[in-house]
This record gives sequence, C-alpha cells and structure tokens, in this order.
Amino acid sequence: MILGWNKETLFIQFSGDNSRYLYFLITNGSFFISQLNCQNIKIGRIDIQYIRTNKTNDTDVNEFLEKSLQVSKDGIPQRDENDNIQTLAIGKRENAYYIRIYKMDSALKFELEIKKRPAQHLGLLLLNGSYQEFEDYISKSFVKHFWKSIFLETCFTDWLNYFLRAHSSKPQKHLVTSYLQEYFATSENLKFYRLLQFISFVRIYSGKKEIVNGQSYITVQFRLLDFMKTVNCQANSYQRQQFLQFFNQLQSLPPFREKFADRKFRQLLFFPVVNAIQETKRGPWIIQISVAEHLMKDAYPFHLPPSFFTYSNTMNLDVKLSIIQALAQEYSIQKIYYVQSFLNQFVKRRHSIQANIKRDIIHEFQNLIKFKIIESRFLFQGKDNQLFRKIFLKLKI
Amino acid sequence: MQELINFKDQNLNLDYLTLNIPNSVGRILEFAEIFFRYGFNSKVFYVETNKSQIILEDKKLSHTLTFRLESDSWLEQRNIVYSIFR
Repeated sequence: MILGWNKETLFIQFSGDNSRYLYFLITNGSFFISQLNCQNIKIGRIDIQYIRTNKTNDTDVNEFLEKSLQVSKDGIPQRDENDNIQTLAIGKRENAYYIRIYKMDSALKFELEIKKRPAQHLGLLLLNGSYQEFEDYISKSFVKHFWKSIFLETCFTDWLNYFLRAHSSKPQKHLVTSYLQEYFATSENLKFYRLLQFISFVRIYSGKKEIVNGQSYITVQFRLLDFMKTVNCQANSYQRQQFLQFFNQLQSLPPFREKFADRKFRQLLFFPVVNAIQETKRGPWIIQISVAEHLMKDAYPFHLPPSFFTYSNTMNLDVKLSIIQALAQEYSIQKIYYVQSFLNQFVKRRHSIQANIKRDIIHEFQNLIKFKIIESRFLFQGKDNQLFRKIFLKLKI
Repeated sequence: MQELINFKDQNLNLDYLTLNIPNSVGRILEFAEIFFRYGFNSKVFYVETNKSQIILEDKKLSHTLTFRLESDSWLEQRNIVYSIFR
C-alpha cells in the first residue's frame, strides 16, 4: 500500500538520466520543489545505483550471482536460456527496501529501491535542502542493504568492501593503515611502522586548515613527549633524538601522485612543513606539522587493536608488520598469511626465539579476533597442499 | 574527523525519483509547464490501460518526466489537453 495514497494523488516519475538531471537542478539551486506550490509533497520512491565495470581478471560472474542467491534466502533470479542468472532481485517488491543486481553488457548494476517511510524521510532532507545528509543517509543505506544480502568473498563486491572499510568506525587507540603495495617492500620496517604510529596518533588532532593550490592541509601541534608516550617509548635523550630524526626524515617520503589523464597529474607531499621547536633549553619539544587533509580524514580502510600501536622488541615488530601486510592487501575479505615463509627468516635463531615468535603470532591473531577485526574462521594449507579448517588457533612448537 | 558521505566519491547515482503530490491530479498541465521550462518533456501513463501519451514536448529537449495516473478519467474530464497540445 502506498502511504497517503488516494485517487487524486499525482505521481511524477523521473527515471534514469531524468532523475539525475532533476537532482542536478535541485542541488545546484536552479530548481526548487517549492516552485510547484504544493502542500504535503512527498518523495515516493528513490532508486540508487552503483555500476561496477567488469575487469579483465574478474572471476565467474554467474558463480557470484548463484552464491548471492544462496546468501540472500529471499532472492528471485531471472535466468536466460542457459539457466544463468541475468537479474537477481532480493526481497519483496512491496517492501520499503528492494535490491536488484543486473547483468549489463560489460558491467554489473547494483540497485536499491527505497520506498514508503524511508523515502518520505529522505524526501524531507531533499525538500529542506539538506543534500549532504540526503546523500550520506542513502549511501549508508545502500551499502548496509547490499552488505547484508549478497555474497562478499568475491571481486564483484570490491567496491562494497572498500566502502565498508573506509567508513567503519576506527577507535582512537587503534593503529590505522591503508592498502599496502610496493611502498611496503622498499621501506625500512621501523621507519614504516613509525609512520603508521604517527598517522594513527595525529588523526585525533584538529588544527588549522589551509589550502595550497587546491590541496587542503591541516597544521597540528603537539608535544613530542605525548607521541613518544602514546607509542610506549621511553623519554630518554637517545629516544628523543630518534623521534626528532623521524620527523626530520618525513619529507623524504615519496610524494603522492594522482594521474587524472594522459596529460594531467597532481603530485603532493604528505607533510610539506615540519617544525620542531624547543623554546627553552630544558623545555619540551613541540612539533608543528602540516598534514595532507586526506591523511586526517579517518577514511583508512584498516585498523588494528591497541596492541598494534606499540611493539615490545624487533621480533614483535616483524610479527606485527607481517600481519599488517597480510591484512592490508587489496579488497578481498579473505586474507592469506604465509606463516612458514615468515618463520623461515628465523630458522637460524635459537629455538626459544622461534617459539616466542610463534607465540607472538598466535597472540596477535587472538587480539584481532577479540577486537572483531577478523573472524575466527581459518583455513590452513599444509606442506602437502591439503586444506583444513580451524576455528581456534593453538600453539604447536 | 568523520565526514558525510557523498554520491560522487562513492560513484553512486540516482536512477529513479518519484514525487507524490496529494490532491493534484487536476494540476498536471501546470506542473508540466513548470518542468518544461527546466528542460523536461511530459507524458502521462495510465495504469489501467497501460498506455502512455505525450502531453508537452519539444524534441530538442532530452529529458522526460511521467505523470502516472490510475485511470484515464483525467483525460475524459480534461480533453483540453488535446486542444492545446495536439
């Protein structure tokens, strides 16, 4: 039943590109719905879509749709003459939310139809000119419904995993990181870890925003000692020099480069200005640093529990980095940790050290489970390539 | 800093929008003219007969909206549409 419907209710429908054009007119201030001079005008239906273009290394789309049909429970497939799903609808059409996935020529279209009270609520935001809130609400609703309804362990939901990671809540005491690619292999472990610690530390600060040639930077100020304490480092003269050296070397990081087209790119520094100041001889060191705004936005895809904010020794640092490296890879929700390959680095070390490293690995994975960063579903591959599942991790030395 | 999410950053797009306006079937022409000024042609779709009819069109315009009606009684009562736009 359509709420508030009667025979005299008029439905004005804008489909596809027409809806986008109307929305463009509304949001850029060219057209106001109030110009229709109507009382009680409501939004009856909003469809939102994401189109994922097929990629060369994609897996079988039919398998993805079949598995999504199994996950959804209330999915209704439309099949072609070869029995392959062409469209998968999830839920009942008359529900307030209704999902469809369409096969297109060289893409998949993911669509959410919003009706009834949620559409009316969103309509109020649109009518009141709260466009940012309108888009925020719809975007979150879109992701939430697909996340609950379809198969996620596939390349076809890479966009969804990316969104969920970027917008999930990341507690202040957690270590954050982005997707790690070549940079990881070329950087010194400690230098790289210190950088992760620093961006995790500084993201909670607010500061003065400045725009340089279209790029926003936020200048923050903090006591060096506060950073050292946060990463559980002793405040002695040697360590202080090490940390000052870290800030001294920040600008040697490779620049961030965005390529927009063959003839257009932008390159920027993450930390263009770093000031370290000690106002009196025995006074505290103050760090003033300008940070590229997107490093402060909290949109990091991955976060790790507080135990990852610090490390107890170099072995522990290696263990943590190896786990971070395994987790922070691309979009898949299934991660591979090469245990033996990691342990092989230590075969010449004392047996007790190797045992400690194994304990560290187990301990950190248990922490990840405890903080719900990962689920306790493990698939082990033995030397004979046999796979076996485990729910709990046990130490076997 | 938690920022609001926008369509552009997420590559999301609207694909359908319906305005429900109570007690307004008699104002179709008025609305069609308003939207026409903003680049929309108009047509009416009669649910009962599953038929569509263009009521205001300039072929240079590339956008169209649809007034959805449960029956074609509107047409019978308001044949003025024909006289103006035929």
